[in-house]
Amino acid sequence: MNHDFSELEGILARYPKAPASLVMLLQDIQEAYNYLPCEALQQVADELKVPHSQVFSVATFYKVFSLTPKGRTIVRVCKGTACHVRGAQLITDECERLLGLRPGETADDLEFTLEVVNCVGACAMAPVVVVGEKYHGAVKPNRVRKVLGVKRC
Amino acid sequence: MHSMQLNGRLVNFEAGQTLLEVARANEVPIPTLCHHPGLESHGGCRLCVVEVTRAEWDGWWRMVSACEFPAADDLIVATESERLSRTRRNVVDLLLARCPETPFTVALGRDFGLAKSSLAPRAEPDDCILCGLCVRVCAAVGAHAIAGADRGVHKQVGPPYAPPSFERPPGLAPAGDCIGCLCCAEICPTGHIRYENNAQGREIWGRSFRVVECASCGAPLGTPEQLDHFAARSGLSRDYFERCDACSKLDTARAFDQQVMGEGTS
Repeated sequence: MNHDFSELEGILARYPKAPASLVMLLQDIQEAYNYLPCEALQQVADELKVPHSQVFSVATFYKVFSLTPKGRTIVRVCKGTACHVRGAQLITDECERLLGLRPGETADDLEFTLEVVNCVGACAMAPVVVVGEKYHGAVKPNRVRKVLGVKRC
Repeated sequence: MHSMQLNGRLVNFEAGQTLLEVARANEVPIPTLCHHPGLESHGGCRLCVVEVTRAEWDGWWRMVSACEFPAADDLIVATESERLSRTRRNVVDLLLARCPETPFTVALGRDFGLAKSSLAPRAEPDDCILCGLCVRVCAAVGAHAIAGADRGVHKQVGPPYAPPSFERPPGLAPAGDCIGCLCCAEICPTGHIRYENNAQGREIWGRSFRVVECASCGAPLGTPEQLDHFAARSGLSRDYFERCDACSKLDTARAFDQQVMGEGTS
């Protein structure tokens, strides 16, 4: 994937050039590009003087980081205990059908990524779907389309 | 001099020693797996667990890893007990489930009275027991070429993008920071890390290295990257590393001989 890495310089300038800045930098890069490009990892390693292998280790350890491009909108269907008993499976099925994606997959046009997560900490409003930054509670299968804001089938 | 109780015996120790060091100095065996005397302790395998208590603890005890726990005055340490055996056997049981066919874990199981794991074996096992020795030795050498990637049951060891679950970007050379010193393969207790020395040179972690020979006798020495690294790290000239140990000694002896003989004749 070809990228314009001009933004990277600015991100790298935000934090002190010390190993302690590693996770914050990776978070900002993940936010800017929706994933961690290989070139960025190498550059972070060089700038912070942290071994490349260690940067890779951190980048693969945390779930928030991804090495493959993610969609502009990440749809997280919660499957924690509370959501599960209140029908998260039906919601997941409906999301899969509407987006044409299996959990963990990203659409070819990079519009959506579908994820199934364990708990988003909003059990009182189960079942929960998080679309981008917005939390939707008490979701019913027939509301999924509206929640996702998709027209396609 | 400090002293503590080890299996009911009063033993002396020096400040800064770990329980494992004290036990070994007193010929009390403690099983270990991820420990190496040349590397900093890691406390990862939990095979070296021992029980510690103190007279004033009123019967309370702690199970700690001997490789990391510092010896202290008036500590009461037991290296064998039913509880400890059970804990160690559990650890070995898990390792056997992880690597059911690896000779190393099978032998370890035999030592602990386990013919096979009581747990479901891993579906597609490799020989890695994740002891972390390779990663630590690589860091000690100063190359930092390998590290653990991913987490939990998916954790694997290798250079960036090397484990099979990752796709290495086409622009990235394999194992870029590796110097081909083979320390990781040498220290690996199970032989999981494969390498090959052949006519072209050396291959490890998917990368090919040239092997340079001793400038005097032609014996294979190591990779150019290795010699560069050692020279840079030690601050010595690279020439120093271009001769094998035997030839270096011989050169020194000859020079010495010449000097002595020279002085003798004059």
